[in-house]
Amino acid sequence: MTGAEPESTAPRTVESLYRPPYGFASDRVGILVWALEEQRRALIADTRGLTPEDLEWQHARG
Amino acid sequence: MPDTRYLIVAPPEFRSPEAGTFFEQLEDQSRRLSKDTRGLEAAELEWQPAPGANTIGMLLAHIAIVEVYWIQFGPLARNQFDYRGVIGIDEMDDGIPLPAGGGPPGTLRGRDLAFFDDLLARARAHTRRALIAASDADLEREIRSPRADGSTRVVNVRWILYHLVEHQAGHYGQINLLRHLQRAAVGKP
Repeated sequence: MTGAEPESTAPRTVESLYRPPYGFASDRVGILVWALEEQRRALIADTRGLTPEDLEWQHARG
Repeated sequence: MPDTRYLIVAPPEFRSPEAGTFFEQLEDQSRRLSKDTRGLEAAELEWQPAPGANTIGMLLAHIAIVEVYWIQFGPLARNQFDYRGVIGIDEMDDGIPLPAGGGPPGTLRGRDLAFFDDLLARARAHTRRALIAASDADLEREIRSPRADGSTRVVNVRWILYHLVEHQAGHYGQINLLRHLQRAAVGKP
């Protein structure tokens, strides 16, 4: 999805539109960079609040 | 020694090179997934690391179901979806999400790898048929749909194709993690 959604109870529109961003000589390169950024945003959102113990947890040795 | 080549090239039969490139990304993910799941037995496909956790079989079925959904929702512009006619199972047959403490769904019990290979192959053939004639302009088309919370979701077809790649890649990673957990549980290297 495109970033964090605003906190509101009012009906709103959530847009997931994947379009070439401005500033790239090539639209295709721009789209791939957008995809990387989108993945980075999602990863950051999903890892907020993890403690050092969480980050070094292993399900089993090895 | 032959060169090792990693190239994503749009199939020439696709009207839109961009759509063809997305299709090839999906195909590359599928080749990797297929290679990493060869030899899995039915018991391994329905193994859970803990009650309530997804199995490899559930995730394979889920990848196929979700692919059919998004292709029908976006490129095919449908508002009613036919899963069984394409892959032979229904939307909820992957069992996802499992209830807390739940076991694998009965619909997938005892299914072997050939069953899941067939689901994925049929879903992908459906995707190919839908995308081969898509134009670059088709990727810009926006689809609006209501959400349960009263908001509206707007996606374009390009985002759907991107999402299919990220969706499959994410679950492919989970499948490999499950294989690792399974080997650790039985003491295999």
